[in-house]
Amino acid sequence: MRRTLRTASALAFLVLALLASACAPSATATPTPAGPTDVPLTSVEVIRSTNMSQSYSDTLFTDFVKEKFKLDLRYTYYPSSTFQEKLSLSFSTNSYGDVLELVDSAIINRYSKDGFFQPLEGIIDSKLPNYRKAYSDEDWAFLLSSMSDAEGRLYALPVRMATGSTGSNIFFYRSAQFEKAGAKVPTTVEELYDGLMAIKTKINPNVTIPNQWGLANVYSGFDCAFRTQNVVWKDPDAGGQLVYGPITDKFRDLLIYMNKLYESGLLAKEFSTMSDEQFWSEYSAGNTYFCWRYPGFHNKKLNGLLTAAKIEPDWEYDLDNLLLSAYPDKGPLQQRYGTFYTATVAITDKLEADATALVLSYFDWSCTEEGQLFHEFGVEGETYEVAGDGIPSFIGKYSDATDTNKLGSYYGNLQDFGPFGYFLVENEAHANKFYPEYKESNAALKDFEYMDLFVPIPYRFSQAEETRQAELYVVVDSVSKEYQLSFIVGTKDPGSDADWNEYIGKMEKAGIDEYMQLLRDANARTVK
Amino acid sequence: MDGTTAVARAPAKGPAGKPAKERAKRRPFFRTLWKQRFLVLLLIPGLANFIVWHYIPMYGVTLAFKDYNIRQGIFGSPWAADLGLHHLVSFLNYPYFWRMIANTVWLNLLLAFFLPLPGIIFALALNEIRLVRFKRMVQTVSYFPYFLSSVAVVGIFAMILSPSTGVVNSIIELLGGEPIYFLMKAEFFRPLMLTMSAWQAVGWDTIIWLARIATIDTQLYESATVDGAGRLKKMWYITLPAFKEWYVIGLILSFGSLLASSGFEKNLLLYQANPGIVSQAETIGIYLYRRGLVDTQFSYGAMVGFANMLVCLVMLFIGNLVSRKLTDEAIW
Amino acid sequence: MIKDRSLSSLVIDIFVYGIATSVFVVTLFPFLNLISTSISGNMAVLTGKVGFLPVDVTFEAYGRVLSNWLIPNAFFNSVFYTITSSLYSVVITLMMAYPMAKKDFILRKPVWYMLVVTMYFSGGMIPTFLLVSEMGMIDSWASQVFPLAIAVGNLILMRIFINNVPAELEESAKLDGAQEVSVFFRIILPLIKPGIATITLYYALWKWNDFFNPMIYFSTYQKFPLTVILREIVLQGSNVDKFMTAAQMAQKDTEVFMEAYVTRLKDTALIVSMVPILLVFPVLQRYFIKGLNEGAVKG
Repeated sequence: MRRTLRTASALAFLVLALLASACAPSATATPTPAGPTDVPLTSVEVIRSTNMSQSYSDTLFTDFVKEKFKLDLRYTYYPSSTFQEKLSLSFSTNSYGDVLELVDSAIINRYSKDGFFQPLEGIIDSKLPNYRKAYSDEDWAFLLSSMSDAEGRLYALPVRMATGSTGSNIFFYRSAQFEKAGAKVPTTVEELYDGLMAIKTKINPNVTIPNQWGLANVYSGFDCAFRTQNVVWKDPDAGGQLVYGPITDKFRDLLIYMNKLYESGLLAKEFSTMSDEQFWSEYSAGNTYFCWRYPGFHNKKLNGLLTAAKIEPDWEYDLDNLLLSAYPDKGPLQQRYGTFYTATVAITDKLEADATALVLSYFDWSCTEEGQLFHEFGVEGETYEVAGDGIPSFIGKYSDATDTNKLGSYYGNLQDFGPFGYFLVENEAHANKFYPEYKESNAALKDFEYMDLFVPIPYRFSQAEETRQAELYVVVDSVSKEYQLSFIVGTKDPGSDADWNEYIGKMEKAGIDEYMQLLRDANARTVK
Repeated sequence: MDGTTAVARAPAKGPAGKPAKERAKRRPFFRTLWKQRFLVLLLIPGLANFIVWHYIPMYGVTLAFKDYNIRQGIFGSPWAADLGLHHLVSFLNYPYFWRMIANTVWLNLLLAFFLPLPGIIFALALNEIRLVRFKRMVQTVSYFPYFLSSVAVVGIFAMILSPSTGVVNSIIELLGGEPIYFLMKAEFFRPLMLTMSAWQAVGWDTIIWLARIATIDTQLYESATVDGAGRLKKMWYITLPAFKEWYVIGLILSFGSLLASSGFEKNLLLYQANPGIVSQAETIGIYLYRRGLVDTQFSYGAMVGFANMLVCLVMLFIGNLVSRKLTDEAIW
Repeated sequence: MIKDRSLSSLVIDIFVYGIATSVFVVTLFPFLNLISTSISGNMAVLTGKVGFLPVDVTFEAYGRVLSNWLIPNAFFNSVFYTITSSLYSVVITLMMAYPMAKKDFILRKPVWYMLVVTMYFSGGMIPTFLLVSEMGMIDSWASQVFPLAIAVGNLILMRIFINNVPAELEESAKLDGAQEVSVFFRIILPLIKPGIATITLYYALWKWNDFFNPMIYFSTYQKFPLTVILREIVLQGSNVDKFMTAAQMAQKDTEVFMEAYVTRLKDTALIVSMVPILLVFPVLQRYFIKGLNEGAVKG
């Protein structure tokens, strides 16, 4: 009897579920009511990744644009975890939308070769004056040289970033602990090593350097000290030429140093496979003594962790000592961000001329002070209010950063691209107010040499070259990573010429010279 | 030749297929077809499904011989260089081509032969358990890992095998050994893949084995009991042989897909965490993934897929033939 | 079965219970860990203090996940797609497996070759997508049901189950003058219930876990099943970081415990997605096996 009952309830559950789910799609398919207007609405299909903070059921933003521009923005969200696959499928089956938002410039450039996008460089001055105004002449020239194609066509509008929210990462220390161990707060990599060893013997035998996000991240901070990178980059010590970092002597020094950290037990044994939880647990256990992050991080996170763990919070940074150096005569490099994000907005060839004009007028408005404020904060009184110090802040449900009705809010970043985030131009005044630490650290670092981050190195390949470099990259990359790992953990000795030459030999066999030549040639074609 | 498998080996041996087969042979095709109209009727929806969804899109195979251009589509794209074989040549020229093939074949052979075994042993054990509640509880819990994503599975194993905090290494240290960083060592890659897959599949696989046990004629067990056979004997001579068919068929099928790396996601996650194990962990799937990351090369991917399919098909035929000769089991 | 009290039987029992218990422990462990993490406090999660038992119990994450319309909506989508597509798949697989199991069926061999080819040769994603699009199935549940309805492996499995039905049953029924149709419905069908149950489970889980096809064929967020949404949640961190600049990271870190919070939300979403399977599947399986036992007695 009981069995029958259970079976019956299981079947009932299935039937109910079936009914409920049959209703679900129809319930959500209700059309958005159009306002009473005389001018017909122009409907535009916008494709973007789901990295977005607007609530899915919230039409406040789209209603506003509808009202003001007679523009009906219909968003299609491609899941960010498979954005590239969805995008390439939509292009190859002719089902792409009218406007693309938040797409990396490299992706736009790939498809622009086939004429999917409208060139925009000719209409910037006439149609997008406010966008252009956000850049200095120098910055604009740099943008054109790195973002446009061989014919000088610009297909993607990068998002102009506020300098007040970007700058090099810096080192934080628990200075008091270094001093307690009888060491000085480090300024060079050797002093860091000595200091940590002193702490290890005198204060905390569990001192460790944890690492998040795998092998590539283990060099963070140290690569600036050793003036090198583990990718292809423009090396100032090689006259700004394109160089593959991991085969240079500077990188060898870096590997010798990393190996020393590993052998002495300072670098976490499982640095390449550490999980986020493992990583942060070392911070909250007080086993870490330095940290490489963005300015202000000590207050945002590090000290909070120690406080929660009932350890005296003593993380701090020193404006005179933000970077470590490995070559004191040359000094370290700082990380430079571009004046724009590589995330871009593009208009496809599907959008007709009239609609394009309308979309451009909306774009341009979004670059005005009013448009910036609207995109970042919405409507005053409804979504935000301005406090006495002039800083806008969200109110009501918009102030809840962890509201899970916004997927983006799983990460708590209410500030994001698009609705309730910066769109084409990030507001400088807001950024300065929100991130005061960047201002200080950028000022303190202004005389240091740069290594570029987030600025794409432009290449113009032919079809055959593109295939060839992809072929070579796979080999070069895997040989290099394999050896980097062996050098750090000491199965190969980076200090021994035999081992190092074996690695270089392998790289040559893998075709590093041909690979770099291809890249240099392709890059040379872009410089006008 | 055909028909040797099933009916002839049905548990209760009846007068099997031969006369029927000979009868069928002499009849003209259409008369037999009319006679078997019920069977044809049953076949139609399935067959239509295959023709529409598998055969119509098959023109896409030509992609492998073209330089695919998104704008021009599959038909409009120009043929590739070297008589259309350019992408194949490029694939064969990959310096680690043979290492990659060997890795893929090894990994898949290992998985093909050993992966079903834990499930079989567990199903046999479950079948012998008489405490119904305990049995049900164990079985239900054993499904759990199957529902976890690969990311979660790799995360769990990384945690268990962690050299600093992992359970396994604590035990090793307790026994006086040195902690081993399993994820970092190439020689542990294949055993690790096998362990992870087995852990995920052990409960789920019992579904099929237990269902097979359920169809065994209970009279067989009863007469064996009468003959004085113990539990072990019954397990060995009645239950286990019933598994042979599906095990062998599974083997043939995975033989046919030797080059398609199973457990690709786990493989990728392990590889990404640790490029140091590349010498064993680089399989065709990984290679394709990495090529694809740099640039979406449709034609190249299609060619690797095409070459893969050809090899698979040949392997499948060989596997099927060998299996029919040796074990009497076959797919067709 | 008759109780066997010999020593060898005891040894077997020890082994059998030993194996079952160890599988139980090994498979339960991560699940306990998942549950504990989802209901533990942030600090405990972050410092790795959560093992099998929760620390600082809070059900806040469940409230968060369930109050978000996206997840319940996706959940019902998953249920709907799973039920419709596996029903259709099971029926046509069964219909196809029966003639394919008949050794004297005249089309048997050519059709087998045809099927085997499809296991390895496919036109690829683009032509299939175009076809689905031509049929007007884009962004519709039909795209989950009709394309790829039959897995050849399941077809072979079904064939094995049909072949295992003793031939004499069929022969004797035919001697009694039964038609092919009634042989199929009255003799074969009841006897292969475990087989049907097995492939139903296989199809249902395949569809439930399928991430790729819904991802390709749906473009409206309201229509995505749980797999797509879950993957978005689980993988978002790693993807987003690539796009994020320091300023965004700063925003992300405004909560000291954001990582722990995200971990808990992920685990919660994962558990929520597992619940229906764990509830429904064992019941289904038991129902079918019970049905078989009855059938066997009758046979």
